[in-house]
Amino acid sequence: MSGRDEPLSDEERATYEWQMWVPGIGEEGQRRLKAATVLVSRVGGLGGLAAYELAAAGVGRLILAHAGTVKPGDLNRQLLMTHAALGSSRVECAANRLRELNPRVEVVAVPENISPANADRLVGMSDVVVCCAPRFDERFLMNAECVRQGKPMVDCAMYELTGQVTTIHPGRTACLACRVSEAPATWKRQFPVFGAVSGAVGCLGAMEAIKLITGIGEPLYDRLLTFDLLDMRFRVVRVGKRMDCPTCGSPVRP
Amino acid sequence: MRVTVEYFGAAREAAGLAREAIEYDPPCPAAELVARVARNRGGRLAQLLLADNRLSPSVLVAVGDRQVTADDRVLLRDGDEITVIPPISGGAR
Repeated sequence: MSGRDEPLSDEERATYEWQMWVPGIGEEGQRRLKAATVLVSRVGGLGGLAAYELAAAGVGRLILAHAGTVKPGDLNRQLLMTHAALGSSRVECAANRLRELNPRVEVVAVPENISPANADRLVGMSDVVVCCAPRFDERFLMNAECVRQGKPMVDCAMYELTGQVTTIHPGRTACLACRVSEAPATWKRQFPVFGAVSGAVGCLGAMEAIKLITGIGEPLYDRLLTFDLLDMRFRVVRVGKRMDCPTCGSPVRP
Repeated sequence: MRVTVEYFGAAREAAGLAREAIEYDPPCPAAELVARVARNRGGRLAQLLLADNRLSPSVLVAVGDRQVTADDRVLLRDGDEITVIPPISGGAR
C-alpha cells in the first residue's frame, strides 16, 4: 500500500487486537490497514457506513468525496450526518464523525462528487476505491478511472430492500462497464431506501476493501452478490469480462 | 418443461412477485425466455428489461450461478433456476 509501513503502537494493538485475532490479520495485516489509503465516493447511506467501518478498522487514510449540505431527508440512512449539521457541509460532518470514532485515521474531506475534474487525482491518491455513488455517470467515470490506473474498486449499490456488491480488479476481472452499458431507462434520482439496507451494503463493501488491503479471503472478483432483504434471498452470480467492453476490453488493432 | 425465474430489485417490483414458475417449449435460450416474459407482461417489466425488444445488455441474467447474455445460445433445461438482476446504484444524493 502507498503509506509508510510503520510499526503499531501499544495503544493501537490494544485498540485493534480483537480483529488482529482473525486468522491472516495479526500485526502484519493491521500494519497494512494502517498504511492504506481508501477513497470512498459519497458518504451517504452506503459510503457512510463503509467509511465508518474502515475508520473503525484502522485504515490509515480515508478520502471522502461528497458534495452538498445535510438535508432532513438524508437522516434516515446517512448515519454520519447529524441533526445538528443540517444545512452545513455533508463531507465535513462525516469527517468529524469519523475523527470522533478514530482520531488515528487521517480523513481527507473533499466537498465534491467524483467528476472528470477530480477523478484522476483522487483515484491516484488511493490504494482502493469504494464506489457508492447514486448516479450511473459517476459510477462509470470512477470505473473508467480505476481501470485506467489499475486500482481495485469495490462497487456497492442498493435499491429499496435490494443490495449488490462486487469487486473489480482491472486486468483481472470484469469491470462495471462489462456488466452495465448504460443507466436503466427506468432509473430515477429518488429511490426507496431504509438505512438498514444501505448500511448492510456499505458494511459488506468495507469488508471487501479490508480483504483487498490485507490479502485475506476471496474478494468478489467476477462475482456479483445480490440480495433482497424483503425475503432474505442471497445469490452470488458469476459475471464475465466482455472482450469488447468499451472501458476495459482489448483495444481494436488498426 | 418448466423453469423458475427469480426477480431482484426493481425487477421484483415491476414483475409484482419475487419468483415464478414458467412453462416453456424447448429449445429455448435463457435470455430469450426472459425477454419473452417481459414482452408478454409489458408495462414496467418490459421497460426495465428490454432494449429494442431484446433483453437489455445491462440486465444481468443468470442460469444457476452462471451469467448468460442476450447472444448466449445455451439452452434451458427442465428445472433450471434463472435469476434476473437489473442494475442499481448507490445510496446517497
